[in-house]
Amino acid sequence: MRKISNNFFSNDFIITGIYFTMLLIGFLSIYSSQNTDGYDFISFQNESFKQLIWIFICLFVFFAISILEYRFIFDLAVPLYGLSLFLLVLVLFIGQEVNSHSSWFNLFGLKFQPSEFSKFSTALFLAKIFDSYSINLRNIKHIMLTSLVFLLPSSIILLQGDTGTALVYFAFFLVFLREGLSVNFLFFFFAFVLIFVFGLLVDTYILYIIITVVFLVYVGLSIKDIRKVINSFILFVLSILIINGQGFVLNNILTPKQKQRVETLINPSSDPLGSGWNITQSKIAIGSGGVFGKGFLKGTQTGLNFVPIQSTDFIFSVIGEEFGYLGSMIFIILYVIFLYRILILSEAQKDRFARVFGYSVFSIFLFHFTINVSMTLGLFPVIGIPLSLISYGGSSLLSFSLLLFVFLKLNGVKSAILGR
Amino acid sequence: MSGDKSLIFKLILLVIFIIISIRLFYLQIYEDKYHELSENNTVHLESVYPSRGIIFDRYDSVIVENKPTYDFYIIPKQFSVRDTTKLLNSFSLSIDEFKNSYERARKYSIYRPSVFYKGMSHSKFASIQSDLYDFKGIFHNPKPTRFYKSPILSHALGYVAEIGPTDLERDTTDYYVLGDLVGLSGVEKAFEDLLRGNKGYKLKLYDVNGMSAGSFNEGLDDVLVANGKNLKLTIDASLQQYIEKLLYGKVGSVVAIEPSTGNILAIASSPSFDPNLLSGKDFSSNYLNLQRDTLKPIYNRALMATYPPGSMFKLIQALIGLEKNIVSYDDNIYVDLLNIGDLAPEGLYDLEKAIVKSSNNYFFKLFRKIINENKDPNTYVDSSIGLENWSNYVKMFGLGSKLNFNISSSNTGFIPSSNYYDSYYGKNRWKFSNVYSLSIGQGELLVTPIQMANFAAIMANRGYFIDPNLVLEIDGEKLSRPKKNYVDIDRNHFDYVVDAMEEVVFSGSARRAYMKELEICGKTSTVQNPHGYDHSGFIGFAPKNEPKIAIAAYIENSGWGGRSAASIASLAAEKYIFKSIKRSWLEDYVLKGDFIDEEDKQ
Repeated sequence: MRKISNNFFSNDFIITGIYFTMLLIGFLSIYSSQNTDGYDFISFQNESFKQLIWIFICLFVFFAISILEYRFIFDLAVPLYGLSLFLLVLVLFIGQEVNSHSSWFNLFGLKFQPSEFSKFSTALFLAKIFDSYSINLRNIKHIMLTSLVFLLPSSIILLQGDTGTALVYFAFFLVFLREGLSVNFLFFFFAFVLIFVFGLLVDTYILYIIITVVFLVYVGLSIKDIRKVINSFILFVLSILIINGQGFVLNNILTPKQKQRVETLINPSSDPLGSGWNITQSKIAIGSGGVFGKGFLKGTQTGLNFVPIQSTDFIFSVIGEEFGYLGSMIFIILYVIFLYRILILSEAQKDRFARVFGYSVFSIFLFHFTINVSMTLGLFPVIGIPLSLISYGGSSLLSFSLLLFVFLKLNGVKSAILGR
Repeated sequence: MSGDKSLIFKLILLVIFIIISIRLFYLQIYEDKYHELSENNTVHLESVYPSRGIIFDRYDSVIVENKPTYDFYIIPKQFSVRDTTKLLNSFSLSIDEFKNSYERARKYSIYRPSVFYKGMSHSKFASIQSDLYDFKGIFHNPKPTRFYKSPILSHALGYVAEIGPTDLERDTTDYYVLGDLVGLSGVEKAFEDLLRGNKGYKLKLYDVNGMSAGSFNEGLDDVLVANGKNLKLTIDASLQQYIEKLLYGKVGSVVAIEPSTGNILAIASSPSFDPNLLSGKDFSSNYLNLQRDTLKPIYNRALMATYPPGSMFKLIQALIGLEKNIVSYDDNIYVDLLNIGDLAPEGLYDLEKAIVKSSNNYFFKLFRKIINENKDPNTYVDSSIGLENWSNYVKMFGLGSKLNFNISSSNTGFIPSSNYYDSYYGKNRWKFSNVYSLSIGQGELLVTPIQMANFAAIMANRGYFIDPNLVLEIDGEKLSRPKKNYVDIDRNHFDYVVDAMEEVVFSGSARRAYMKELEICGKTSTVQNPHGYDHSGFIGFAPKNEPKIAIAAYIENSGWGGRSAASIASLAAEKYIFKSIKRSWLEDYVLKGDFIDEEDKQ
């Protein structure tokens, strides 16, 4: 038996260091966002106290994984994925509704969200698939089949009504990019997103003209290559469809609430007391922090409950208000270093299983971080996903921790092998 | 691409980092509105209303005081009542009225307080106080409001009301906000800065539900309220009240001045109004009603109404004549009745007899000599020089211009000059025969009652006046009194004319005003009025030596000056000097108010 456990703590000081720093920042932010006037700290009314319990649970899991035989990770991939799919379906029927999402189990008062946990199991299963079947992403059939790994849980979560969490699964798209999916997909993806967004902001006729001009110029340049012409024609038709479909998406696919969130993002002042309230108050909180912030526990937006669901979705506004630009930038830089480190380590994995899993961890953290922070800054519609490791919520904290711990474990194996 | 497969992810990370950094920089450093927005959110300015200065009379009895009224606010987010009927009854509102104000409040903000009921009286407040606990989301704020125990001096006091949009725009001090009380006329307006005090401010933190969360910055930025300064007026409240009683049912005004100081003892205009009507929540409708009244009760006749002075002006003519050596004390001239209508008989007159009998034809002749001194062979030019000269003398009596007085809104009256007639008739196109009405105080001459009271003070002082004044002390500090304004006429002439005024009361047209102990001197006017019965006028002072009170009275459409005006002025002087009235028959005569002879009434 190899002595892996010794390396577990030490295999990456940067990641473990930042991880514990984040837990501390998260705890303090939640503590600040809680109005503790009414009750004691030690109370199940108090989210910061509950978060503290979850932090201790994470520490326990941390040690548990450190002594776990790493082979288990491979063996558990399939059953865990199966279990999480089962739970996702089950919660549809016997789940408890919170914020109009039926995505919670209530076990003896402790709420548990399978959609958070299934991020971990999906990442594990995806790694297993890539590793076991030599997936080649130049092959369209392979792309479709492997996509099912995350589309399946994502669809079930969409049925629960939790669009935000369902969207998170699309972060696995980045893993596919690393594993050989054509970069063109990324460009097309961004191009279509851009067209969609511009469609909301600009008159559609202007868009038609721009796209037609771009198409004609491109055709003119590559007139000799018939394949390029056909491809660009397909893209042209797709673009037109997206512009036309945008109204359809807004009115038919998105729920009225989601549609309102998109519209609010574009013009938050249209209804500052209604749907614009969250974004407006979050921006006021962060903006009023200034350079140095108002000081810990001194945020007025925070302390006086002006930002709704602040301990979860809008936790970053606490940091922005109380620690200002300096504090926010230190936090952002720490987080970026953290993500960068995961990226570097993932790339360094020799093993495809470990690499795919590492990239999954990177993608999920990146997605949560980017979307959540953009949301509080008014750059993205409010889709209600937590800021990983910071936001209040046991299921999500445990799920993110598991992702990280297992990745560290895999990385430790590598280091152990190299160190031998 | 073949080298580092993580490169594109590093780029994505970098782009995200840059976007977030820029956005944070924009929100937290570049854009500075958010700090203010967050304070607007949480820090509410709460006004603490100062108590407006109390107004006393010269003997420290209270004329104007304050009583609390209550404004009610609603915070829609917190609003809930179990018993709607009780709520509506408490505020005497109909369900629709309440719904309207609730909707208005909700539109403004569901988290912030909006006014929904203004100016509840203290007694009403006391009766519903116990129920207020049941009305969640309804708050109240006491606001001191003017209260007048006995409704006197309404015109001079003026009134206090919520500042309107136009006044708010004109206000350069930035002190007022919409809904603040401000003095809008009279003393309340003139001494606004002193009376109002300064609002205090408390900066209070409120959470998202509008619940108070303590003081902002530990109260260090709060501004303490400073109550208004108290005013002690020159008014004698009991005299004022007595005069208003005498004036009741009549149209006119009375002004009484302490000659040695210029202090105003009483200033009354009739008809009057209860100043309580213009204090509190029914201001607008009451004000409108008063304004619509054809007798114009808000109009301050003492300062604003102008009348021809009438016969009392003969005193001024006599003084000018003496000063210009046109007439001397012993001159006797024969007066016929050919030139102008007259009630005095023809015969031999000296100046004193002319004043006592109020001989129109005597003053016609005198005025002709004043105007035509033969300074120029051309009679037109001569008249122009003479009138200008005369006009300058008249203006020394404080006529034709605003008196330097606390309350600025007063009328100037009118003293014609040569220029005036030049523009009316053309230069050198007029002479004495065009302006002879001036000789008996008619024609273009216009004076205000306060100017005439001031003139009475000049006679009492034998040749000078001190600017009329309404305020003795501000918060216990005495005001310094301005200097004497002398009329450039020999004091002996004043003594002579005053003797004549004494005789007027003793044996002339003002016999009704006579009272031995009072030693009152005076002169009546019966002011011709083309629109109806003559106006009755009187000026006088008492006692003759070391006068304590100078007084002018104008009673519209009540005939001879010797009747209503002289009686009222005389009673007022008696009241002030002896503090009580012995001549109850005269009082009854005035209160009955029937001054016109039967044969004149047709």
